[in-house]
Amino acid sequence: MIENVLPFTVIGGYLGAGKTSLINNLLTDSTIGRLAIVVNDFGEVNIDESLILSHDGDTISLTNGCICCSLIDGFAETLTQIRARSDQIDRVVVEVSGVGEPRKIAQWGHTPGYFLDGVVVLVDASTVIERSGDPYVGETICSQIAAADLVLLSHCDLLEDDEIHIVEQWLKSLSSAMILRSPISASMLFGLEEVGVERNISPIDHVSVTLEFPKPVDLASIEVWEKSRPSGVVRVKGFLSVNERSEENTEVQMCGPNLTMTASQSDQLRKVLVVVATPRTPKASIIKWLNLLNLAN
Amino acid sequence: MSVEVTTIYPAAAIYTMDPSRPTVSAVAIRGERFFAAGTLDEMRSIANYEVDNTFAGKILLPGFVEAHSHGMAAGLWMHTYCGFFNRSDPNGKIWTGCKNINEVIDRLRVADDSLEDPNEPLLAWGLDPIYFSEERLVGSHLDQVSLSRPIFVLHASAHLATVNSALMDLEGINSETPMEGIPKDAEGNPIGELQEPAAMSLAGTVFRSFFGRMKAQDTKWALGRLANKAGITTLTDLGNPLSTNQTTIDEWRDVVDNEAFPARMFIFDSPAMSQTSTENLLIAKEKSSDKLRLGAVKVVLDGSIQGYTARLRWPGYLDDRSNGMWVFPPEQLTELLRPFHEAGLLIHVHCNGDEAVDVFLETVETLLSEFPKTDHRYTVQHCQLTSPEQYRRISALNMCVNLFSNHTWYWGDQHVTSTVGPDRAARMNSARTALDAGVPVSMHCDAPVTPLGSLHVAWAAVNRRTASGFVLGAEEQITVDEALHAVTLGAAYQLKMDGEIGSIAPRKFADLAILEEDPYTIDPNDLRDVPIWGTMSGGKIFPAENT
Repeated sequence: MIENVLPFTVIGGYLGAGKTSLINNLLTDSTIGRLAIVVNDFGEVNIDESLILSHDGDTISLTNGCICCSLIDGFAETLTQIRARSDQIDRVVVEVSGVGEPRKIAQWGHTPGYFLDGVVVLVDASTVIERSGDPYVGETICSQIAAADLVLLSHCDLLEDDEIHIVEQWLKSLSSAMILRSPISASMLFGLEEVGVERNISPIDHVSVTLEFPKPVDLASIEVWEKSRPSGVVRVKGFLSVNERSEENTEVQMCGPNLTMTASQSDQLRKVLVVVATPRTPKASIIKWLNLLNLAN
Repeated sequence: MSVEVTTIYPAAAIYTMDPSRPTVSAVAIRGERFFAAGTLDEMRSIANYEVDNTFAGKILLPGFVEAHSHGMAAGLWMHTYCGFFNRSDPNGKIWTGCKNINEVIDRLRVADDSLEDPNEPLLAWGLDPIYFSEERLVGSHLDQVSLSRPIFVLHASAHLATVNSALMDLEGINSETPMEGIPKDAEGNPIGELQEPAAMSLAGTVFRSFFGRMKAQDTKWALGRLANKAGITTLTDLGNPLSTNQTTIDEWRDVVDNEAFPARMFIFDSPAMSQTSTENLLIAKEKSSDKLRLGAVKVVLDGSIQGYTARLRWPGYLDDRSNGMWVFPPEQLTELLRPFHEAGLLIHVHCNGDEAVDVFLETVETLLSEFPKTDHRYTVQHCQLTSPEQYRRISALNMCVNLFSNHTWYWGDQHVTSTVGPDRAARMNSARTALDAGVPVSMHCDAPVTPLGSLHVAWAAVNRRTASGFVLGAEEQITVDEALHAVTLGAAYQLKMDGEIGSIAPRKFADLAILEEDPYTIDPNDLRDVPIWGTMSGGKIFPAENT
């Protein structure tokens, strides 16, 4: 029997960057499925009372199937408990404390039964440059940004477009992460397009492209492909047959610029990649990019 | 009605820490408390007394007060010790330090032989390869102990573990394991080191068993035995995020309030982890007994200096690496502490680095200006790199410090060569500067980080000797009397228990450290070696014979 492996997404960022509002939105977004949210502090997640089904110490269960777990017993114990109910959970989202190191927390995503599905760092566009010079926390803020796969800019409504642009340029000097302005859809955040499932989505939300790869792909083409990512591409997920790898079925994940390939435990037969990109990314450029994988050496 | 009997104990010498009568030759005890401290002759008028000569050749001091230890400090003794320094277990057995890889292997082989079930994992702790001059200790060394039994050895830092092949095979840790913190050899195979908790947790059931067993109720009793052998009569658990939980309270009360338990225990909460409310803390405080204390607050601001995670002011760490980490956001400290401050709860904050001290001082300044208090006893825990100007501020704010003086011995050499260099290492845990600035001082061992032992803590502050044998910061040495005051009345003061314990005076609890030699007349270099006969807790005698 193939076990259900849970995607594990880390959400970090300094105080006031909007982690809590993002998580509250995720908890009520019906398109994501049943989330297990792991937080340091229940108090910060202001869950609407009417949504709470039960509250037993370390875990709050919601009426929509989501759960919210505290870390009082530590990560190892909390992840064991979530694992025990993995048939009732679709995805794990971990909120890192405001001074926490997302890259360290991300390592828990490699716990058996989970796979690391991206490090998202929220950044308050209106204050980040000033705060990065703070003698106490400036270094912490910069190292959080450097750890991100996706940087999500919040409070953009407080700035003019050219000011946001300055922040984006500044962030690029710190991090190779994909930089996005919030709000973005949960699909984009998690790359929710499922392999082989066609959904009718609004192009204002995001762009998605699916392409099949019936023939095996060379590692060398993957390397070229990885480096040529069009700027709008946020996520890639799917399965390939890779010539140089021993397993039959390689699971491919790309979150921002970061590619991971793992031996797939699923019996997925179709070799197919799904790309999720920002609105207005030309589909043609995505298809051209994906076709780089078909180049033989 | 007959008067309760009062027992008079003459002793070879009694140091009271009571300024009006610093030395006496006998103590009179009625029930749980000191009735008098003076001479036998002075006590002849006490009604219904009897003289007990048990301590006739002994030296009596107030029971030592360990103001920064952890409740699970004895739990590690559920597993095999293989650290570098000699260490005494709760039963009084001295485990010699493992000085090289072969001694570690030999130690583990003995443990392996003693386990009957071939599948039972071999769990060990205290490994300190930083002191080994040879090759790196890896999983294949542990394979020499057993190829079939899983072996998990926690390092002294508690940040990493070394495991054998059997464990890696059992838990599926291999070349494909994607997690960081699993170093691999040239062929891509893991070498058997699991760094940081996420990687350590891959040891699965073995990992859970290691930490699970440490929580057994027996380990609380073992902690009492460790304290007793060290002359300690008041312990602390700094801090426990479950301290206001009724189950936690019941489990501790079961042990501590038992008259066979030889010490008092003060459990601080960790509200930054538990989100415990002021109300819950006040309710817990009401549940305190004479021996079990609850309802105080501990917050951790930064990491450790030897782990390079303490927050340092410029110039930071010697090797120009990035600064340490905040465990709690500095700008939220005021908000976190405000309700506790207003409710009058006792608040201690862990600050290893001098930058963390700045944050704590700014916070206390803010809180005191918003809501003035005089006798708050805010205490800087560890306070290791604090500068003279910070000590003057601490004094001006009426705050206390609890120094980690054992560092000079255990990590002094590393601080000189690796972390902060000889100049700042010389001012680490600067007790002289603190006392001269008028700051109330205590000193601690942070057990299990270093072994429970107030005489060692005092010895370290008096001598400031490193493990390699040289004196680090002679200008910061203090006298034996100052050091013994710090581990008795000084510590009691910071716990706001100085009206009850910490000195030998009428009305106070009859808590004693009973020594075989006089720490005031021996060579101060030998202070840590003074044999401890046992303790008295609340008038009850607890000899430290090996059990």
